[in-house]
Amino acid sequence: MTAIISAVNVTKRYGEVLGLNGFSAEIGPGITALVGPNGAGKSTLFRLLIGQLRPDGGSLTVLDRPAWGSVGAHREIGYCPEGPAVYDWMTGWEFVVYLLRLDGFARAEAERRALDAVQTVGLGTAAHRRMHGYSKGMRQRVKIAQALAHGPRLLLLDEPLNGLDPVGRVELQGLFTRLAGSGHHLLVSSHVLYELERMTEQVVMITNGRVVAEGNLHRLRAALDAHPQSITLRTPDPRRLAHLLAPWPHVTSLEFSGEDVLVVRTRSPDAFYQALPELVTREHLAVRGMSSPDDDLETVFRFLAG
Amino acid sequence: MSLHPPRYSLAPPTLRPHASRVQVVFWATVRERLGAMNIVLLAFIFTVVLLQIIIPFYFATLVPGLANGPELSFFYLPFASQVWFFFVVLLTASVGAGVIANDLATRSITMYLARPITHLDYLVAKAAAVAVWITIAVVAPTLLGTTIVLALGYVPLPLALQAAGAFLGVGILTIVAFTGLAVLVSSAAPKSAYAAAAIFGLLAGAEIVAFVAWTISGEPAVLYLSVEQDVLATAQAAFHVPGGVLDPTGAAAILIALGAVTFYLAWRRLATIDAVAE
Repeated sequence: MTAIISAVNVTKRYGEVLGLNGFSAEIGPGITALVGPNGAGKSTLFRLLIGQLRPDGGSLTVLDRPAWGSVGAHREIGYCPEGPAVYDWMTGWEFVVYLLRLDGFARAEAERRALDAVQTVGLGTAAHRRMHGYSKGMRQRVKIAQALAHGPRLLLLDEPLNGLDPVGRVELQGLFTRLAGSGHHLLVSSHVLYELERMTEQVVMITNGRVVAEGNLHRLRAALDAHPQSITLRTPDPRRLAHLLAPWPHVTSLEFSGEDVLVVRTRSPDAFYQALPELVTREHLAVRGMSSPDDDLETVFRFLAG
Repeated sequence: MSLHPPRYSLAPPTLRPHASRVQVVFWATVRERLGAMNIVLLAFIFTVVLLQIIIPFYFATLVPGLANGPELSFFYLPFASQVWFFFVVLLTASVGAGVIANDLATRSITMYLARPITHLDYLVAKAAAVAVWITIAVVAPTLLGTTIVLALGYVPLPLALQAAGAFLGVGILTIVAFTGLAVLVSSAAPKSAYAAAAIFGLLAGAEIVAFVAWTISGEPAVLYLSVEQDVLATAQAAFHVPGGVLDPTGAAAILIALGAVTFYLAWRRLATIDAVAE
């Protein structure tokens, strides 16, 4: 795998506080999800990658160049920061033009690209209104537009879907996927975890400034084999179902949650999923719903992070 | 609706030179600061300064015994008035406070610094934008007033040129000191309102502290602490006004040093702007 981003033992301190603590990861082409709780070091990593911060230790390269001090490399990176980060007194289109001109584009070219970018993120005619009246989702789209507009190879998107409505999220997820298909590389952070699962299987999990896991999400899931998982069953008679499941050797606990919900914890979800239909059929049970809150990225992260 | 990637290619375009990118930040900042309050303050400053320059020369024409005509020291009146200085400080606080603090508060600075510009480029552009506003307040009305009294025939051309040079010299020292202080405070404050209060407090507070310390101790050297007193000392020398208690060279050096040191500290501060929790 050709590493787009390579971090070896990167450390960043804010006085006594460690922003990154020996962060090491190889991030390859396509879309990579960066997952971690607030304060894990995700935004610090982004700012190190754009050369805004200087690492206190270790080595960090982006597109084969050191992240710190490679001002020219910024042309190949598009960054969408977390937070408001826009000028309310400009229109969305003006803002993108302005930032493109900081990239060195002549006015006419900047205006053309900005128009293309605001259309790309679906801002429509709102792009020509002052951002003072923008919703959070519209601001988010402007930030994504400015990250895309100069045609970077690498997009660093810090919580890019934050504040978008469900339709907007799906639209931008699709856009990110298509951008990856057209040769861009994306590092996307989010704590809305299922959104990342829809876009990529490549994941880097970070907590307390360290990588706790990286690689293919499915392979990481395999690490859960020895970890009890929860399965929620919705049934009108949860007590009878619990009575029937209690003897199963891999079921470790049963918990009633509300009048019609039974939460089962099992050490062997595969065996559970295999055996349950047979039990339901044999005992004429009414199971109206089944879900596994553990069966998502968050659980993997929590488990791996300890 | 389905969104599609932009139509442009990944081929690198022909990019404009480095200086033009700095100019983009500069002009955007000048425009951003074009608020109603700053315009009102500027209008007030122009009115005050023009009146303080024109009126003394007008009355000088009415004095028949003024054998040698008006002197250079007549132009000193705007400096002698606390009103002008007070409003220039207000304008500096109003213009300078948000110039960096707003970018830090909204984190838009991260988008600047993700571009091919350096911390120093950014700071130079921001400082230049502040300096333009302070120049308009400090130099423009004095030069306009000098031009008017020249046009009205109140002063001869050599005297007007001498006065313009003096206004320019003192003005530059003032601009350097005020701009450096403004960008430093703006880069250090979490909100522009705090920065405005700090700029005003530092400039006005230093004047009060210096004056009280001088009154108590009788030691004139403490007046160097006051930016206003430093400006006045250089202005007294420039306009040949007798009676100054401070050495004008020392005062000028302090103003330049204040501008240079505060600018340097602002630059150092920008290099560590991310000393905040996520």
